[in-house]
Amino acid sequence: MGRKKTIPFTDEELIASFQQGNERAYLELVRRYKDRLVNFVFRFVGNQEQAEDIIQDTFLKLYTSAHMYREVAKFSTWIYTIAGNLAKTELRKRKRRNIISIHDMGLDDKEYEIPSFSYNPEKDQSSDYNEKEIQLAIQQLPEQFRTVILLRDIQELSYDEISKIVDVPEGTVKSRINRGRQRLQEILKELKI
Amino acid sequence: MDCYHFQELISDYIEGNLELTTKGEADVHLAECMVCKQAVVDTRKLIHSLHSLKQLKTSDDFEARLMARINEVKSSDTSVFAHFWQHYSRNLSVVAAVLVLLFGTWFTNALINPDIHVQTQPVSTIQQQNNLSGKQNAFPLQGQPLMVSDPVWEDSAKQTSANYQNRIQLVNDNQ
Repeated sequence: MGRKKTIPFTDEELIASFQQGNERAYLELVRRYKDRLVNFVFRFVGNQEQAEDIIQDTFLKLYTSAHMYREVAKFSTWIYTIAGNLAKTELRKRKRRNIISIHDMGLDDKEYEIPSFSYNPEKDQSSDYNEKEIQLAIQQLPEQFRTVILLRDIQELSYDEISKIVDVPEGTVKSRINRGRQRLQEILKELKI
Repeated sequence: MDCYHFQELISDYIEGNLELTTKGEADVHLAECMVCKQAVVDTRKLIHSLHSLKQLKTSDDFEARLMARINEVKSSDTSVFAHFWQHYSRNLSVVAAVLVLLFGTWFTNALINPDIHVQTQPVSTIQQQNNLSGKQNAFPLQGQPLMVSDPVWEDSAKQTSANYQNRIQLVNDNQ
């Protein structure tokens, strides 16, 4: 006698069920996406604690704004867009905090931007040197390249999905990924010197 | 194909997204260009490194913290009015704006023409009465609602009255 196979609900079925008031569907979505999203956002901001806070905000937004979701887009595209936007907002806040006027220090009247690397190598003893190097290199990538590289090479999303998340044509995504990979190699070479 | 063109296509080449003819041209270029060949090796290595980065996991209390935050939001937003307002505030604003506009139009008209009174007797009744009595139509604006103070109606009424006076005069003269 054959055993009945249980077919898991799709993300879209789960969000539809949550829109009808089923909170267990919401929890299932959280379980499916929390680790994927924390990896995406961590590579973005370079700090796990902050990455988790951003993912918490993402899921809170999902809870309060689930009625905004329409099944014209894949759920994954929608949730990655929310997380990506929150991560970018966090980076911009951080950037504003880190801009120091050199004029105040009496050297020049030009403003310099001090790069922010909150990644602490001592904090993460288990990862090897290359991993740290890659993380530093990713954080030095310009934002438009960083997003597509993370979505393609770490999250392994399709070009079509990435195009919808970053809201640019697929051709632009391909070109950004190509240039982003080249730029990343250059940064890695500079880091080795 | 030159190096510049190949560098533009390197990701597509590695991921196998090139058309057959373009891939053939790329292969020919690679066979004779060591720089681009090395670039392919380096890019493959980079993609492999990115794919094999350590996968992080959220902390054990992640869900508990999230549910605590959700409960906070719920308790601060449980009133029916808040829920209603959150979902329908935009629609209510539109309805209110339309009502204000309608009231404003009516009020302005009332201020400009305070003496206007619309004839309460239906126009069709007036027409029927006229037809039954066989009278010539005394109302040149027949078929339209009549305003008592309408200057057009007043002029036409005066004119009609003058016509009757002339006819009576003619009958008297004939007699």
